[in-house]
Amino acid sequence: MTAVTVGDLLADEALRDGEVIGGRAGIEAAVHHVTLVVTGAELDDAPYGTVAILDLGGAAGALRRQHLAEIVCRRLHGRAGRLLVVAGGTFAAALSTVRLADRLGLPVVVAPDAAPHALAARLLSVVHAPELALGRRLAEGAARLRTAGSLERVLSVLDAVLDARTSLATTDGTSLAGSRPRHPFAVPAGTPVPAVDRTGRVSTALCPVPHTEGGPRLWIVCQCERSGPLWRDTALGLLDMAAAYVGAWFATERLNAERDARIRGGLLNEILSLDGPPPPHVAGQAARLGWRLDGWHTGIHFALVGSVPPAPATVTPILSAGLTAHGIDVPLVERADGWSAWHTGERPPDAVASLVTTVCRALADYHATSNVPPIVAGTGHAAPGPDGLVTTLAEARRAALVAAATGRAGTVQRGDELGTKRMLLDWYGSSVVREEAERMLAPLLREGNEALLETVDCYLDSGCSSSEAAHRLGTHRNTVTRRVQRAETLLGVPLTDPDDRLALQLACRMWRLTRDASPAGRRAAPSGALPAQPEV
Amino acid sequence: MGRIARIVLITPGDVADLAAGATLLGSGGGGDTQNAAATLRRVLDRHGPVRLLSPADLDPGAWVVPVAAIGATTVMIERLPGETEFTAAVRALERHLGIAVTALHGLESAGVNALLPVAAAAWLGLPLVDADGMGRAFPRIDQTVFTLAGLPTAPLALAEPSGAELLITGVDGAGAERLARAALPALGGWAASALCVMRATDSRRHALPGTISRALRLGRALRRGQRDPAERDRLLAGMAVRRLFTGTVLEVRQRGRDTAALSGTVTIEHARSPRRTLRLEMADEYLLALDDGAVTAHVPEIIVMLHARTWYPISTERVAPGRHVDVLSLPAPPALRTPAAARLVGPPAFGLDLPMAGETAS
Repeated sequence: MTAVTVGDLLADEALRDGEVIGGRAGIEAAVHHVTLVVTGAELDDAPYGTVAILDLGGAAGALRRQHLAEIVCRRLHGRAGRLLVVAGGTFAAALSTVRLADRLGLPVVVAPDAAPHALAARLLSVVHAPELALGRRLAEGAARLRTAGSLERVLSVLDAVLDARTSLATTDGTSLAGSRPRHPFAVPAGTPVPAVDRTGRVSTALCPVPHTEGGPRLWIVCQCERSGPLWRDTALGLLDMAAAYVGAWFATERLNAERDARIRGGLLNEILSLDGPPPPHVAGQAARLGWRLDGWHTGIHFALVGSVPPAPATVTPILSAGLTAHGIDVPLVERADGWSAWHTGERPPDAVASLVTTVCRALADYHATSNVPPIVAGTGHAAPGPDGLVTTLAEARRAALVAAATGRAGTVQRGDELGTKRMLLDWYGSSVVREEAERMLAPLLREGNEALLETVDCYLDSGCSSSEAAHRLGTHRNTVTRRVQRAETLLGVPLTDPDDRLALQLACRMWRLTRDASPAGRRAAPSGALPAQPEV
Repeated sequence: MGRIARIVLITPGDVADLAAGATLLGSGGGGDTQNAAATLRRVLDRHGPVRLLSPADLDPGAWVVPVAAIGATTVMIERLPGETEFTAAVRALERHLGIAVTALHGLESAGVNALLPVAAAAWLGLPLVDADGMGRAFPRIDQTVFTLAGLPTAPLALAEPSGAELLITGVDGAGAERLARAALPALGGWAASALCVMRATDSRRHALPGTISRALRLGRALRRGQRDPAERDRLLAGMAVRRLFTGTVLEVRQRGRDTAALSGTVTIEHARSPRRTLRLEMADEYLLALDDGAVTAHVPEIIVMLHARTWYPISTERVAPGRHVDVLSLPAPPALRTPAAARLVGPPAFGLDLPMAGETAS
């Protein structure tokens, strides 16, 4: 280890609360000796690199000795001293003292509450046995890290032991936890390894957190304005230890989250498959999770749009936080196709409308977050008891399916407003119907016929109006007519027959739902506002 | 006849010089001399000039008594000093001791107390011995060469303008100081005092000689310097005055006087080398000068602050940031520079520890 510097002493616990009033230019100077100054004679044979501690003599004597700071400052500087600590009494630094310290480049620290003798002993041990100080700090840090428990506590232990600002940051410098770094820093390029860097008066120690799969590379960043080689050695050692704790903490958090999700999912499945009143073990488990089974439940179902289930577990906390931020404090359970949630009240709610509005806002915020899959939601009727929960969740799920059919992220569909759409829901959910639809549309699903299928779908949705379909597709009316005729030929079904028309329209709906749900099947929407020339 | 030839008269024409010198010797304290000077001028006009004697001019057994105003000089602006109280104080001592005073004597030939004994001598029709006990201003009545010589301070007579008189006996110098200070609020803030009564031979042996005429000479030189800046360096050399520092006051840190004897600290930036700094510690007077951490002057040396352009002295009460100032140091009388005197009039007596005074400016 290189020699201890003034910065190291300033970062030491004994001087941490001291105020540096001047002479900051000398903070990097190496220190070799410490002496206590009472009469001034102690300075006569002070060796090169001395730190002087001026004893103000307690409350009674402090006022009589204020001016001595300047006399000692000058004598110390004359003997190549490195630091003056004014201790053991109140010191009101006059401007003259500050100016003298600055002129001589001799740091002056005021530590009114420090006991001069104890301070001298402490600084002597740091100066003459820095390895001891390093070991002591590492041991202290290790003991405190062991019992820290959480990420925030680990960072605050580093703050305390290193007298620094510690943060958990990404490679690009975004702070995720702890105290945001005050000074810019750069992570070392290449293999992530611990590093320490000094820019001006600021030392920055960096240590990578053991990598968590799927997550971004994280660093513990620790910055200190009063620092020297001893501090940097201590910081590297402690950060290395802390990184292991932080990595372990992340792994545990992830495991806990997955276990909780599994427990919640299992319990919800059990509740949904209940036949009669809930048995004691179900009721008990629900109580432990804070779920109320009695009361009036309003179900909410969140479904993914355009991405394949299951939803990534990492999305759950983001969604949950978004809901909580809007005052929707509800259980959120991961399901195969999304998330089930429900709101429980004493009485039937006056209106579901306000809940819907809030969910809409929460989803808008959720989608504002970068890199999240698009989500829609559906809500159910309010219904009482465990049976009610089953009904309302089922209703919410169907509403979400309808919302997903619109293909717009953030749509919230109310279950009680489904109306005629309700009739179609069973259709949408049935695998038999899906197979039949695929069989019916098979000729149009072949390569090269996508435009025909899209045109037929649009034509039927436009009430069999060629001009409206042409307008919506951005093509010429004759093109629509021609494509519909070709589709009729390929399908072998005349669209003049009402039954065939209905069956074909339903099949098209099924196709659209399936297409939107599979990324590979998605196609660019027809574009172009102007009607094109008719195809020949 | 030879004795008569040595007699010096203080006339109304000398008052301005005496006042200027007294202010300089006040070392930032001693009180504003303006009112006292006006009073003295009027008194001398009415009663004629005052004879200034050397103690050797008197019969060795003749009684002389120092007189001074003690208390708050700021109160003196409202309760003007007059004939009644100074006459009463001297007469009270005469009555008490059964003696007749031959001449008055200076106690503190600085600030108002360089002027009022002259006025008192005129009122009493007595001559004034050209000597005192301090040779400058000090805040305590026992900080005199008389105390150092073992001469008693008590009996001490105090009198105030409305007629109250107080006689303090049976105590030493510190006791007299303590009792007098305790009585001052009841006496109206300040009082005329007569104390340290002694024979002419004691004055000749122990008092600081020629201090009143020194004030006159200094005042004359200061006023010439005020009129003619080109003369200043020559005048300083002639007066054995050191120029400590020239610069701008940056900061005046005042302390509450209830907790400490020290009233404040002044930071001055040097005019030509702006990184150089003078620290002045002050109480009633300027006490200590530290030039970049080196002691350049301390009590009992007479540290004086003058306005750099006009050369008017700046008292410790008037020093303010932004002033361009000259800081000077006048030597203290040799009798005050002995190790024995250091305890009475050195830095520790003013609440300043100075164990490292050996360090001098480079």
